[in-house]
Amino acid sequence: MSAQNPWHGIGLSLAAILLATPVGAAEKPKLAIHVAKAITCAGDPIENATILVADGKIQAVGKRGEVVVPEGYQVIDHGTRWAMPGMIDAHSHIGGAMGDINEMVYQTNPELRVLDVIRPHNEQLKIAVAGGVTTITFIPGSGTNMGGWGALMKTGPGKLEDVLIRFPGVLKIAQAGNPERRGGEVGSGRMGMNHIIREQLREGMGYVKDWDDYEAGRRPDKPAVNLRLEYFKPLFRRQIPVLVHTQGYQVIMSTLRILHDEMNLKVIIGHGCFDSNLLSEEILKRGIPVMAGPRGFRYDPADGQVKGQVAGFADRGVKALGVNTDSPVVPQEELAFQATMAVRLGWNDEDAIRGLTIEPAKALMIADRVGSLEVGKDADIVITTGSILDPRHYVVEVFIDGRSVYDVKKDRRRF
Amino acid sequence: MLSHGKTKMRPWCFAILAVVVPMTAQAEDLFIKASRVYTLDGPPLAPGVVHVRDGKIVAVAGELAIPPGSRFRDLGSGVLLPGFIDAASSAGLDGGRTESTVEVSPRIRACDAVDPSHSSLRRLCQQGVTTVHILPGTDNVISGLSCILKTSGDRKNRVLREDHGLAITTSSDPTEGNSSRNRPDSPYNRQPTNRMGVVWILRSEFGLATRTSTPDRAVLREVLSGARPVFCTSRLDTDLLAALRLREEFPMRLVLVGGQEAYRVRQQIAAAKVPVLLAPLSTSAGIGPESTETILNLPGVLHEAGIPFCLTGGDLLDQARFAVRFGLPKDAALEAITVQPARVLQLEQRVGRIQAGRDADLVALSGDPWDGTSRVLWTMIDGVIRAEEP
Repeated sequence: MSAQNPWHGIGLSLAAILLATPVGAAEKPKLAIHVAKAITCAGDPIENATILVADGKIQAVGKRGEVVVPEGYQVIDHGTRWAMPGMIDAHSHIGGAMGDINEMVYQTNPELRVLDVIRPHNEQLKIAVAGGVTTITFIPGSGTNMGGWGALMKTGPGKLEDVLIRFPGVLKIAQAGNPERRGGEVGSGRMGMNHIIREQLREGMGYVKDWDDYEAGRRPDKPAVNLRLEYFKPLFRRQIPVLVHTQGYQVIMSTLRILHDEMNLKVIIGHGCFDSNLLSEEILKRGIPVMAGPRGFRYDPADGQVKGQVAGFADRGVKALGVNTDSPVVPQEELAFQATMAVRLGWNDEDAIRGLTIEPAKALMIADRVGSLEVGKDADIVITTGSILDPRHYVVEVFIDGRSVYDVKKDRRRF
Repeated sequence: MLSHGKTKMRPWCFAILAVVVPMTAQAEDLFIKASRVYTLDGPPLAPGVVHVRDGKIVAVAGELAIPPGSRFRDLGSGVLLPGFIDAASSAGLDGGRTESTVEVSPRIRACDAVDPSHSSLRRLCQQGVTTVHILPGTDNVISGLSCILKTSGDRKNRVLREDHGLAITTSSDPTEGNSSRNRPDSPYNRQPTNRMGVVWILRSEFGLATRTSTPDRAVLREVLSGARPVFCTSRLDTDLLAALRLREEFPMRLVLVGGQEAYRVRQQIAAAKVPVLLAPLSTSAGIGPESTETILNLPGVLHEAGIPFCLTGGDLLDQARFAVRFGLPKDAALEAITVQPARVLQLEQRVGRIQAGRDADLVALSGDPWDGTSRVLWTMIDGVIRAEEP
């Protein structure tokens, strides 16, 4: 659970799941991990580092020798290898296993949730772990304008309550492209789609306002519970973000105008392709993070160059910047490769590592738990043979919540 | 006491039985002796005698005094068991198992479509099944009301409950045929087209029923008040958890049906104390319906987890034997086709055990139930033999 409890005031017993304390603390070992270099994503990398892990959390990170290894800690010496925070994908569809992500009868579906179709550590997630991905945003697809509510989850083994970081994690909205169709209802083109997105959000906003007024004593009568609109509460209270499938200059203009300016939502720009980086100034003004890709480059007919999308944002000053796979569009385990391509096309190494870790964590509002190697955070640690941005290097061990969940020595190399 | 003297009366009894007394006579006392009587109420009696009169069990003991004029049947090396109970069946349903044009049809009744003389019910009776719980199918999310009846007997008295439980599902079955790609005016252009929609329809309907009542929602309100049990077909681990989550949000007397992947979420099911009506056991491990990953020792695993469960879907004795082969204790296997389903169906006072006062529903086997060559000699329902090997 994040510190901000989106369930505040929601009388659903479902909250029991979300507040469940992680089980199996007893099986979480006390570890001292030595590496040649630790990229913490919180300050400069530490050469010859030691990371202490206890109760699933990071207990200390520092220079080897300066960090005292207490009695009873299992020492894992990774020699010349590197450590980095577990990687985070803000846009993934493989948290379930049966493809139940697009329910497309209606164009807006705030009644739908992925919670009931999550399959922890399924076959695709097992390989994701081998690629160093430890947290994903499992979201409904973009078959409709409002696909439903996604979940933030770890990729490792365990029961649902063990792997779930937050539900509802995000709302999924898609503003262009995939939801365009001729189903007979309003929403066949972008004007119509933006109209019904706005109408649906207004309905949700009104519902939340009624409840906020009631809870603040500004309204005497208790509003009726409407399960279809219930999850709008954390959204309009800005406790969770909306993840927007939005791409291209015009589409992102509507994202900024409708979702941010009109609705005052916490917005994450997902995809952000084509020429949308030309809007960086507007994006920066509003402090909106961009989780770009997966197709991170485009051929620019104006000058005949292939240009990097991420570098386009970075060159224009956007720092809240990451990449995603939209898995299974790109295999989940290839998340780091998305950053590699972005670097090849002009992004810098340091920001690229941040874009795989702390930036998506901040965008998803879970940076208090994951995204960097800092004291008190979840011990989600990826051990690599070297910089993960160099495709010749690979992952040799992965810890999630302080437990080794992938180790090439035991599991053989999966990716 | 079955005295030596009275034992000598046996040939005389048989003569009367065979020549004078018609098999359907009920007003008379019948004594059945078997090498073993599995009462399901303590260890088997070996030998044992069961006294039947007027369709009920009067007494069961190792020995019983047999008054003159009583009918007597000696099974020799044969054994006697309580009639088996199939707690999840579609037997007897004629003309479709669901009303698939709508997704929510809580007032549609299985009992309206049961053909009491259906060959599937006769077949169950021949297999030793005496009580059957007939559930509407899973093509819609909330499909309707189940009924309970004996597999044979006169039509008036066979029905134990016309409307028992409400059948729902968290599986993907209702999505079949629905598509947003249909013509916009097609009735099948509707939710659910996947599991998210299935769960939503359930939450939505039960949510609305908490506040408003319509004839359909009145049935859901009976569920929410605890007056009517719910039988939810769920096979994948995710779907089983979705059902438990629904029960958390809307407290109800939930029974899970199917349960192919229940082994994966056994701790959660055990903690919720929800019984499982297992779908017919697969004779080969691997892939089940909805791509479930099946295991051979599912009953044994659930037993060890402390989950009450029943074997269902016909061939109950064969299923019990199969379950024992892979690790289920024999006692538990017999309970899973007798006492457990009686309990789940709230019929414990009538069926499931060979006990004084209960319905005289009995199965005679030619020998040890765990011997694959033992066969059903006859099946008795309410004191009358309704199926007998020719």
